[in-house]
Amino acid sequence: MKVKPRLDPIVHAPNRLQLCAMLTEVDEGEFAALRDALDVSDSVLSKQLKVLEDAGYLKLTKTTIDSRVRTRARLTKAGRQAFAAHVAELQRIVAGAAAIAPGHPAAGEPIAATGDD
Amino acid sequence: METQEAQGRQRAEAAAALKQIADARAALAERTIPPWWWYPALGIWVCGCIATQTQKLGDWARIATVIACLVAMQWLIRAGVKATGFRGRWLDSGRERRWIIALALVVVALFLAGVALQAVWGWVGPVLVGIVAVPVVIVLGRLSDAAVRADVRRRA
Repeated sequence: MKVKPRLDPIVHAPNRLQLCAMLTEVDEGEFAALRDALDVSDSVLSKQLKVLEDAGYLKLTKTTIDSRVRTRARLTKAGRQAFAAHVAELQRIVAGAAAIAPGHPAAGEPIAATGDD
Repeated sequence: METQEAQGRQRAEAAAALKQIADARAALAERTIPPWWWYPALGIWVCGCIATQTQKLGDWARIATVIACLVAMQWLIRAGVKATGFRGRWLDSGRERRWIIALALVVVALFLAGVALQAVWGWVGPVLVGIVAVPVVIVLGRLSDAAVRADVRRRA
């Protein structure tokens, strides 16, 4: 996927970054599997999934099997692009290609994430 | 001077974020391993398909065995997804795709061998080929799994 490197504050929060990293590798992941893989509580995962869903980066599907509701998460095309662009920018920064000119809005500012994590 | 510090700080943050991504993918690679019984079950499924579909069967028996094979395949896929919690997009992954194609070609070759042996030995031929297919599928399946995990880690 060819994308323009760009930091995305929605993706950048640690839990959401890891969620996106996993979901880009699969078609979809079940809530319980994602929770266990991230080692977070149900409420934390729900919150992070909601942020990604509200941004249009993630689609949640709920199905009832044996009277139990199963929630599956799948990254949307926009989500995959946002994550790819974010990773590309991170790699660019690490490689030292990001030249921040004095007075540039990014100079002196840490990479900020949107929302709690 | 401040700009250099800012760049250094940003670079450290970016490196930490990339490390988190690598950790997440490494964790995923371990979790996408199907349970131990999955490839033996797939091997038995392939054995059953070869042993039944290469026989000379009546129309109804043919339809029944085809339906049974399809239902069993559907169940196997669902059981694999349920056990791991992840539905893969493995065909998008280079090395994994090659293993899946290799596995499919081997199964087709075994199927053709079953057809040929059925003509020579009768019903015994396809059953023997089916039995041979079980370990072949298990080995190729496990190799393809290892390829997926290596791919996921490599992208980390």
